Amino acid sequence: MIEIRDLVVGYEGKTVVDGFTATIKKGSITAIIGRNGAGKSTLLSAIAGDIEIISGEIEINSRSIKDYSLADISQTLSLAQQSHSYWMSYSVQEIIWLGHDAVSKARFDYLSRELQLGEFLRQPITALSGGQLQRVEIARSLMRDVPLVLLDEPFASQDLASVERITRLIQNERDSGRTFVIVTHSREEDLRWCDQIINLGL
Amino acid sequence: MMGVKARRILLLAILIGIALLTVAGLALGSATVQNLWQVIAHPWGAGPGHEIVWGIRFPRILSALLVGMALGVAGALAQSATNSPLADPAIIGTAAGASIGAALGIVLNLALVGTVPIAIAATIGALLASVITFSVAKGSIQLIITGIATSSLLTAISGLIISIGNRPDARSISFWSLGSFALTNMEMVKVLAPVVLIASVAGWLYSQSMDLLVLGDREVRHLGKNPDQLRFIAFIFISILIGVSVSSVGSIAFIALAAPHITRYLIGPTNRPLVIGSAVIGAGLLLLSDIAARTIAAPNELPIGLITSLIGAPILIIVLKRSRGVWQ
Repeated sequence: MIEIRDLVVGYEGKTVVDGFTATIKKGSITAIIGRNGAGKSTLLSAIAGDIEIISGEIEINSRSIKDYSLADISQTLSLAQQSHSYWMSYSVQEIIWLGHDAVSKARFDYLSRELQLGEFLRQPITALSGGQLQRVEIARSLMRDVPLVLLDEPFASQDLASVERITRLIQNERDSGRTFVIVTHSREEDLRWCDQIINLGL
Repeated sequence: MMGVKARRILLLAILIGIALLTVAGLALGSATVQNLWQVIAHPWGAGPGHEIVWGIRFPRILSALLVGMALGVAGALAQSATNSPLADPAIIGTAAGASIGAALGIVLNLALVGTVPIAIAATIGALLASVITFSVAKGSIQLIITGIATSSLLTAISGLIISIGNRPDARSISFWSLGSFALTNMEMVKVLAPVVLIASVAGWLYSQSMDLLVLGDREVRHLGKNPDQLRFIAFIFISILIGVSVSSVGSIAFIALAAPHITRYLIGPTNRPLVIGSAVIGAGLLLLSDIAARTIAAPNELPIGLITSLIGAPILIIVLKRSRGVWQ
């Protein structure tokens, strides 16, 4: 699914990821771990086509990410951001549906059930806690039928029961053929359910 | 937030309020009119009373409603386009750009106040100023700081142009910075009405595609849309609305900021209803402000910008206090 070769990326002349190589198989779950500042989120941004690649290559489905148009990106991947601040009080369900007109109601119902969003759906997005907002982000990232899902710190503000539910949801989605890349601060021994763990540095 | 039925009742109530304000606007003024109510009841009559009520006060009321509508729509589009609660066209430089465009147009003998060519000159100025602000600024804080800098710079330059140009028909610096409805007439309404109505409807139709921007630029790109392009098209509509308003009555503060915030508080943030609500509330607020401007100190007239600042500035402060999340 994803081939990363000798990747160098960074911001404003500062190299954050320097010479990274990895293979991520289709239908697998890959966790990216590493200390703060190791470049986990930067790597995720590079895979999503958000930042320019300084050198090296990222290929998704044997095609360089540099050649992906915005339309191609939208059909290939989705990304749940680590945090999000809203100031306009759209309802939670409006936020989940935005840009997802073609998605079925059944899919929406399934995700709001699995992510325990049922009781918040009509509330304003501005009233949610950090953990709830994160689950809304995860729900959004799973609405569209895209082969690759990138999750940035999906467990950061979740309690243990929620982590378990989210973990199960991700595994179920993987079993239906999706590929996951997850940036996380979880300990390696808590990530046995992943198919691959990439450590960017201690 | 309220349901569809409650929204309709609210809209109806505001429209009735505007109708009552219109009658009040026809009736109130420093000049005494004989048989006032009879004159108001017969728009197509003749005589000195008719000249005051229907020849002077009526076009002024129409101008206030149209400019208020333009400012409300422009403010709603600007806040949604930038995903920032502070994106008032007067704050981010759009209005100052319109002033400079209009002032140049007059001083260079290209056009007169209240005509289509001057509206075009102001629109171009507004668009250029918006582009300058947006090409420099990244994020909410920078947008406001850059906007204030752009505004101050352009306001100073247009002041210089007007002073050096030394043309009586270029109006005063206070006209361009505080606005005035004192010189509106039916000819001006004939320019304002079609431009404001068409640009508002087009902006309303377009606004739906901007709901996505609340998700942030990154997510918008992942959905296959270019956020910069979405914003730029919005700023064409905003510049036309601000251009035609500023070139007719000068730059009026805070209506564009306040109308969408009041509307969002009442009916929520979804763009299409927001644009309609902001148009109606902007029109009502500005008509109310203009009636206040010409009655509070009658027979003297207060600059309209004083009244709108009195109403709008507290709203800005409330908004600032309530939207800390934006500054992250």
